[in-house]
Amino acid sequence: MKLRDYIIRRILLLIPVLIGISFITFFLSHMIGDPAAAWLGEKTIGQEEAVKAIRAAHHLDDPLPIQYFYYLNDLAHFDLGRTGRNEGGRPVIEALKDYFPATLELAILGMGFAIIIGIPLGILSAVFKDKVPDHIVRVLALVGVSMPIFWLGLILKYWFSFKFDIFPLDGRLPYTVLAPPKVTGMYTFDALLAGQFDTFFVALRHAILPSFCLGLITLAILTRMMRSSMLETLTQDFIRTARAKGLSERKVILKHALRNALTPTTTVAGIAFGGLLSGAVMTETIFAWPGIGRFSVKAIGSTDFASIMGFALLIVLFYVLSNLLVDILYVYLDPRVKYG
Amino acid sequence: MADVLLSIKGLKTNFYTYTGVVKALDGIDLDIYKGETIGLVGETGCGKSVTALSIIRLIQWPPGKIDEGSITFDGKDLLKLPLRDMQKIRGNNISMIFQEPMNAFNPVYTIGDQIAEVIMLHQKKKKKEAWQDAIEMLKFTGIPAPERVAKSYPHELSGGMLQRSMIAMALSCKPKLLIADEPTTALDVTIEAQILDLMKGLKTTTGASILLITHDLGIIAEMCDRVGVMYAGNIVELADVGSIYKKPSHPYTVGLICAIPTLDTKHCNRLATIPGNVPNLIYPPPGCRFHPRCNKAMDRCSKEKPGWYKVGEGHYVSCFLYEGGDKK
Repeated sequence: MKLRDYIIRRILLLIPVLIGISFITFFLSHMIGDPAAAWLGEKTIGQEEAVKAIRAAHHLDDPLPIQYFYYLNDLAHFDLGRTGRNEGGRPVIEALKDYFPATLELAILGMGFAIIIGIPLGILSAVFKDKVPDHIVRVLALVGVSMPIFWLGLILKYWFSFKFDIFPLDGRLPYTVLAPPKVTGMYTFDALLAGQFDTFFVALRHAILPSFCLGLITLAILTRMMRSSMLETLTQDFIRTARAKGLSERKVILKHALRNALTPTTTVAGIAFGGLLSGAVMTETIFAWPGIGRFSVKAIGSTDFASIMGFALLIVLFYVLSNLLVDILYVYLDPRVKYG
Repeated sequence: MADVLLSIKGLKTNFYTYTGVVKALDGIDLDIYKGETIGLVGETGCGKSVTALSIIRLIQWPPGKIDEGSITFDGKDLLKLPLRDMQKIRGNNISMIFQEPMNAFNPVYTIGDQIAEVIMLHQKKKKKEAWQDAIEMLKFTGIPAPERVAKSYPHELSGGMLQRSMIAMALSCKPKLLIADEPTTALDVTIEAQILDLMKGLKTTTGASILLITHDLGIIAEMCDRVGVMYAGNIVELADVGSIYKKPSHPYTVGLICAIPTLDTKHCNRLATIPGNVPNLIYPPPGCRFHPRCNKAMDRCSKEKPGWYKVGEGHYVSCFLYEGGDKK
């Protein structure tokens, strides 16, 4: 299997990428302050000895490159260090395990919105180029791309939660509803797996506003991408051949043009998915969504190096993985793509 | 003469571009008879392909539009048919082979899928049956190992193989008219000869009429029964293939034939060129569109458009020099 070798090679290539990222985040984060002082908080005042003790215990007096090697050594043992006071000092890996599914859930739903709405809009826009549907879609896409997330989030909350009370204001589930048994940690999927459809709908209703808010920019980007690649595909010779065969316009577009136009759009979607995970920082803060975005904001606020780096590494990991997934998808979309 | 299969009358196709209206076809008249091979020859931009695409109504709007004329096929005016009926004719009664076989197939589907698609569409066959027919057609066009070719994707085959597959696809529904738009331009000479042989052979077995578009007078001589010479959106001379070489009449045809390097010095002594350039069809010359480049131009050539004049049996010219001859 050539494809398997390719995947293995790509996964092995992840290691240098992650080392590089850890290098950058390590040195950047260590510029923002003294973690020992942050750890002790207000108690620092007059407690020079305690601060010193903590610094000594965590090698904080060593030169930075030496500290970095301690960190790398721990990393090689899958130890991301300990969180700061916010999380009560539990291992970073545990905190990430708790928070990441919530973010992944938002990102998947956001991507779902983007694909299900964005791609058909893009096709529509291309097929009706320079006509009314195209103008409408283009304006919408432009608005979507340019809308600041924090503003959109607040507006969505104002109208759909506060004014019309269609969707809940924030959070993942109301206090009255128990979380479904944990499998993936994503409430909607877990609820489905457990067959708890009531919980599923409640969780979904909670997720709709934040995931739409998160996915809107991607939706707009996919629409524009789909429109342009569709337009380009429609000028190709094989489209003329398809028409000359007597195929209906619907078939020409949905069978012959679509699959060719999907390749560039898939590339963009793959990159955008990584962006959704990191973009969740803002959305999660607005919608009080307990994901890694909010976790990282708190970590930055409390000079919690280990958590910041853990967050960055996880994002990078998924960024690379989603691009790998796209590269694998190419094989199925375009027979000309072969790896090996 | 045999029965007329397709009759084009006064066809005018225009392209509405930002810089102006390109009058690509300026009233084309052409009859295609059953079972004949008719060639359209002319330089790039003279409207050969536009004529072909107009016949199956594949001129893209915008910018192109067929503004006037009629194309009668099987007693129906193709230009007035609803799109749905036109789609039943495309690929079925009239099919087309394109210039670049490498780009004319969809890269993401197999050759067999693409041929079977047209069979399923027009002959209402099941996929399995259509696939069998597709393999038969590939075999028919002389492709070795047709099963393997059917399962191949376009990028896995050579240009010659693809053009054979294209012909197989075009003939799979037994069309009455096959339009071949420069079918060998993108191929090298040995493959060109094979493809031309193949088309000749297939014509005798299927009895389809062929409209062959090319800029190569050699191909015309080898393949065609009749030939129309096009210049700047007009057919300027229409004749049996023999008479066009023996007795080229329109000054443009004479120029074209003189421009072929040849050992024959009957019409001209040295390799000639036609002075000037192809006119900009947004502002075509008035009257006869060839007059600014014509060495025999008279005053009236710039004022009136010449009609059709007969210079021999089945040989017509659109030039005032032959006004004495019978009108068509």
